[in-house]
Amino acid sequence: MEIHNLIHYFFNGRVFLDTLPQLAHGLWITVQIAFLSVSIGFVWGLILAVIRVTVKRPTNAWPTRLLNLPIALYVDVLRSIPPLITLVVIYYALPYLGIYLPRFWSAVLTFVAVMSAFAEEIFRAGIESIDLGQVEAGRSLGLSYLQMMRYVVLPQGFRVAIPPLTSRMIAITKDVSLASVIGVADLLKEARAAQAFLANPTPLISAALLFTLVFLPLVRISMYLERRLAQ
Amino acid sequence: MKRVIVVMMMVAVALLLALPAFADDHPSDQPLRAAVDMGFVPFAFLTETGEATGFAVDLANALAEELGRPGAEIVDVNWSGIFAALFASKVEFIVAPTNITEARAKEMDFTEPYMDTAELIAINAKDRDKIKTLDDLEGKVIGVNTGSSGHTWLMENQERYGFKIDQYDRMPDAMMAVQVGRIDAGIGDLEAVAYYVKDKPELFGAIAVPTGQQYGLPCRKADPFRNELEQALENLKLNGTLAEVHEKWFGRPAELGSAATLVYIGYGVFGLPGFELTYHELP
Amino acid sequence: MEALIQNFFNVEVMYRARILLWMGLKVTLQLSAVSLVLAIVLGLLLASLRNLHNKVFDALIIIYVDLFRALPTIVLFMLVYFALPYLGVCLPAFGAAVLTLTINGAAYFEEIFRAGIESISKGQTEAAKALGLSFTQTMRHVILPQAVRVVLPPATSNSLELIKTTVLASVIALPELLKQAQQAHGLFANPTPLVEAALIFLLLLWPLVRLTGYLERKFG
Repeated sequence: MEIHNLIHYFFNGRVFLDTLPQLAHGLWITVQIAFLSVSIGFVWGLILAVIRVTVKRPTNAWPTRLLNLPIALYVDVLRSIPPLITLVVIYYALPYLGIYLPRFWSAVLTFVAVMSAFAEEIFRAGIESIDLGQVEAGRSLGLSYLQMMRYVVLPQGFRVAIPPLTSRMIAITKDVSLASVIGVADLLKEARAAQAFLANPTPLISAALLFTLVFLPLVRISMYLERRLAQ
Repeated sequence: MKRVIVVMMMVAVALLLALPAFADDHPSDQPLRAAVDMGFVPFAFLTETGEATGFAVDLANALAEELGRPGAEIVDVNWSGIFAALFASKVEFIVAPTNITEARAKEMDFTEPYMDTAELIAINAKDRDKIKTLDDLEGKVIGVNTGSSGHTWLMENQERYGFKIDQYDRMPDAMMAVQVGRIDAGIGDLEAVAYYVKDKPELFGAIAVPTGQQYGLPCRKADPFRNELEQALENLKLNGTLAEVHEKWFGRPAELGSAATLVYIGYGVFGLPGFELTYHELP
Repeated sequence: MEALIQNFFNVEVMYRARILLWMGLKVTLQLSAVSLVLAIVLGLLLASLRNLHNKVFDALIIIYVDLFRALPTIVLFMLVYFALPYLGVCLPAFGAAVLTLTINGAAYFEEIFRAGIESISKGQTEAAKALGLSFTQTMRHVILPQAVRVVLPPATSNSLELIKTTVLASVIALPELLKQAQQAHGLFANPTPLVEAALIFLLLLWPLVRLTGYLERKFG
C-alpha cells in the first residue's frame, strides 16, 4: 500500500486534531477509573489479608478458622475468571438485583473487586513471609496482637509486597480499557466511535500513542522498584 | 551459539515476509468474503448449533452464486469496525444491512439500494401508555448501536426532542438494557428491531420513524468490483430471488416498487458520490 | 432472587447454549496453546539474545519489552487486526489473535527468562568447569535446577494471564468462548451463557491459580 494512503488512514493530522478533545475526555475517564479502582482495591485487599491472617491463626478454634473460606473463595474466583468476563457479568447482573449503577461505577466496582483479590494474596504472602522469630520477640516484649501488626509485621510485609503490587496495579490500570466493551466512554471507546463515524483508523493510533505515553513511565518505575526492593 | 541465533532470526524474518499480502482482492476462484455484524437478527445471527443464518447470509450466498463463486464466506466484524475491515481489504464488501448516507458515500461506493427501511423505537411494555409519540421521549434515555444510522438520527434530533443517548456495541445489548429497565428505549433498523421484539412480551415496538432510508452494499472506493456486484444484485431482483429472501425473513412479500424489486439505472446511488450514469445491458 | 436464578443460572438456557459454548471453548484452548508456545519460544530467544551483551540487541530488545508491556493488550489487538493490513499484513481473526498474544506474552516472558539466566552467577559455571563437569552435566546439575526455581513461579503465573487474555480476542470477533457466550446471550435474550462461560473459565483456571500459589510458596 502506498505511503500517502498510510498517512491518510493512520496519521491523518486533520482527523487527529478534530478528535483530540473527545480522546482527551476519554483519557480522563480512564484515569479516573484506574485511580479509584486501584486505590480502593488496594485498601480493601489489605483489609481482607489482615482478616484472613487473623482468623487463620492456629490459636483460633476451628469455627473461626472457617471464616477464612469465604475470603479464599472470593479471592480465587476473582483471580481465575478473566476480568472482561467479570466486567460483563456484573454489568448485566446488577439490574436483576435491582441495582442500577451507571456504567462508570459498574466498571469501578469490577476493578476494585479484581484488584482487591490480587492485593489480598500479595499482602498475605508478604505478611506470612515475616519470620516467626520476630513475632515471638514481639510477643515476649509484651506487644498486643494489633500493636504487633502495626509496628512489626505490616511494615515489613509491605516491603515484600511492593514490587508485585506495583506490577499488578499497572496490569489493572491497563485492563481499565476493557470498560469500553460495556460502553464506558473511556479513551478506547472514544477512539473506536470516532473511527466508526469517520471511517478512518487514525483515532486508534492516537489512542495507542496516548496509552503508551502514559504507561511507559509507570512500567519503568515498577521495574525500578522491583529491582531495588527485591535484593 | 551465536550463529544458531542469527540463522533462527533469518528464518523468522523470512517467515514474516512470506505472510499473504493483498494480492488479488477479488479472486474468482475463492468464496465471496462478505462482512456482517453477527448477532443482528434477523439479518445475521448464529443458530443454537453455531451456524450463520439470516437475510444477509442468504443474500450473500445468492450473490456468490450469481457471480460464479464457490459460495460465500461470512466474516464477523463488530459494527464499529466494519468499515475499517472493508478498507483494510479483509472483506470484499459488506452484506450487513448498511444504510446509504452521503457521509458514507464519500468514503465508499454503494451499489444501488436493495431494501427500503426506517427506524423503530422499542420501549419497555410497561411504558406502553406513556410513550406514544416522539415528543414523549423528552428526558428519556435511548440506547443505540454505536455508529449506526439510528445513532445519526438520534444525534440530529436530540435538540428537537430532548432525549439522552446511550451507546452500545450491539443492537441486542441496547434492547436488553430496555428489557431490564436500565434505559427507557432503544432505536434500531425497523426490520431488525421488529424481529427482535416479536417474541418478547417485555418489549414493544412503539414508534416507527419513517426516514426514507435504504440499504445498499458498500464496496471500496473506485473498486470495479462494485459494478460486478451491482449487476449480480440486479439479476437477483429480476429473477425474484431477492423478493423470496425478503419474504422468508420478514414474513411479507416485498412491495412492488420498493427497492427490493426495483432496478435502478446506472451504477450506485443517484445523487451521491460514486454514481455512474452508464447504461448497462440486463440479461 | 428468583429473577436472578431465572436470568443468570437458568439451567435450560445453559443446556441450549452448550453447542455454541463448546465451539468457543475449543477455539479458546487452541488459541491459548499456540500463543503460549510461541510466546515462550520468542521470550526465550529474546532473553538469550540479551545474554550476548551486544549493545545494539540490548537496546532493541529493551524498546520492544517496554513498548509491549506498556501498551494495553486490547489496543494491540485492534492495531494488529485493523491497522496492520495497511502495511501488507492481512491476518484472519485467529492469526491476528495469535500474533497479538505472542508479541505481548513474549515481552513478559523475556523478562522472566532473563531474570532466570542472570540468577545463575558466572562463578558457578566456572566452578563447575574447574571441577571437570561437561557442558551437559553443568546444565543438568547446576544451571537448570536453579534457573527453573527462579523461572517457574512467574512463568506459570504469566501463562495463566495469557490464557485469561484470550478473551480479549472477542473484540476482533474471534469466535472464542466469550464471543460465543455473547452470541448465545443475544439469541436467548438471557445473560446465563455469560455466567456459564465464567464458570467454565473458573473450572479451567482455578487449578492453575492454585498451582501458581503453590510454586510461589515453594520457590519464592
